[in-house]
Order: sequence, then C-alpha cells, then structure tokens
Amino acid sequence: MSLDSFFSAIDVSSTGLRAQRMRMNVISNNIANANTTRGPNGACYRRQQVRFSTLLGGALQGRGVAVPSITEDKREPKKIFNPEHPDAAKDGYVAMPNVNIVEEMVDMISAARSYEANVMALKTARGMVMKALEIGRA
Amino acid sequence: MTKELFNDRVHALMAKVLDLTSERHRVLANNVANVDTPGFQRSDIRFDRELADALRSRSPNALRKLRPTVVQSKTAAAFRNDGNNVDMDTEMGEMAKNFLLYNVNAQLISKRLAMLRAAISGRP
Repeated sequence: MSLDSFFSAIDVSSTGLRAQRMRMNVISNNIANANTTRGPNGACYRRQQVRFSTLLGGALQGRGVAVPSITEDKREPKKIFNPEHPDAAKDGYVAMPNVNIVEEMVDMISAARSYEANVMALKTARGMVMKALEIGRA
Repeated sequence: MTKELFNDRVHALMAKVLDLTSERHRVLANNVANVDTPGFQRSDIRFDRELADALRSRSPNALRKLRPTVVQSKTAAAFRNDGNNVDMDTEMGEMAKNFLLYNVNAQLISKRLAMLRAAISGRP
C-alpha cells in the first residue's frame, strides 16, 4: 500500500511537469509566431492558450493535472497600416497576430516557477522512497 | 514470542505514520500540480487527532483501521481571482514538514531494529 502511494505521488508530480512543459511549448509557439501574417488557413496567426483541468481518481482523490485542450485567443488581430506588405488587404491594413510579447514573457516565468515546484515535489517523493529503502540497514 | 517482538503498538504506530505521511505527500503533490488550474480547491490530510484517538482507545485494531480522510478547504485566496486557493509557499512548507516527519519515523524504525539486532547478537 505504501509503495503504491509513493509511486502515485511521483505520477501526480509528473502530470504537473507534463502540463507545465506543454504550456511552455505553447508560449514558445506564440512568441515564434508573433509576426506570422499567414497561417495554413490563409489568415494571420492567433494566440493559443492551454486550459488546465484536474484529474480525479475515485472519491475526490486528485490524481494530478491534465491539459484537455489548447484553445485560440478570441481577441481581434491588430491592424497595422502597411500597404507594401504582401498580405495587406485592399485598404492597406495588415492583420497582425494578437500575441502580446510582454504577456507571453510573464506567462513563461509563471510556467517555469510552477515547473520547478513540481520538480521539488517529485524530489521529495524520491527522498522518501530512498529513506524507506534504508530501513533495517545496519 | 516473535509475534510480540514485531507486532507491538510502537511498531504499528510508526508504520502507520509512514503510511499516512506518504499518502499526505501525494495529496500535497496534487495541490502543487494544480497550482494553475482555475477553480481548484486545495485538499489536505489531517491525522493527528485520529491518531491520538486510536492510541487512546487501546484497542489493537484501532490503529490498523485508521483511514486517512481527505479534506478540501473552501476558503478563497485573497490575492487570486481564478477561484484557486493554492498558496505555493504553504504547500512547500507543509511538504517539507511532512518529509521530515516521514524521515524521523523511518529513522526510528531503523534504530529500533538496530536495538533488536544488538540484543540478538549480544554485541554492542
């Protein structure tokens, strides 16, 4: 029972690591596409964001966190007047992605800190397992 | 005779505390994993009162029957507006305390076994 509980603590922390890493990937993708005016659908890139939700085991027992979907930010693209741009509309305005670099940077710091916290929790669980292995050793 | 040697109350208590602290660590790790989940409410395991009751009852099965209960705290955090009440500093502090309690118990079991070994071998 005890060992099972240990491994499930490590599993819980690893779901947190996976979720934060996915968030970081989405942030990187947003920053990389901050100036992309034409995506596969012909429109300009739209900022993506992750959605977190709790993973539940039986009887309200939390089993970590999951990323059920990645959604698009609904905010309107920024219009910038630049008639020379190849993707400019007839009136000379270019639709630029609704990515705000400052926002992405702050989000990135938050993701990195949360990732570290999960690493800490995982290390603690590992420390407990290692301590348990020492029981009875002369 | 060997039954009393290993199945005494002190040993059962220490083993139970190991179980409870490892279970509590899982709950705390879940809080940390959900630090950015909107609407998540932190949960925790309290076992000090249950443990004291089980010890006071003096029934040999009270300790074995003790099951940890997970309680969810509903208080809203003043500084967050996403309905999540996980405070990272609190979680880390609780996790450190829980880790130390686990280590103390593991150490106690080790020392107890070392005493038994010393008695068996007759050497200090």
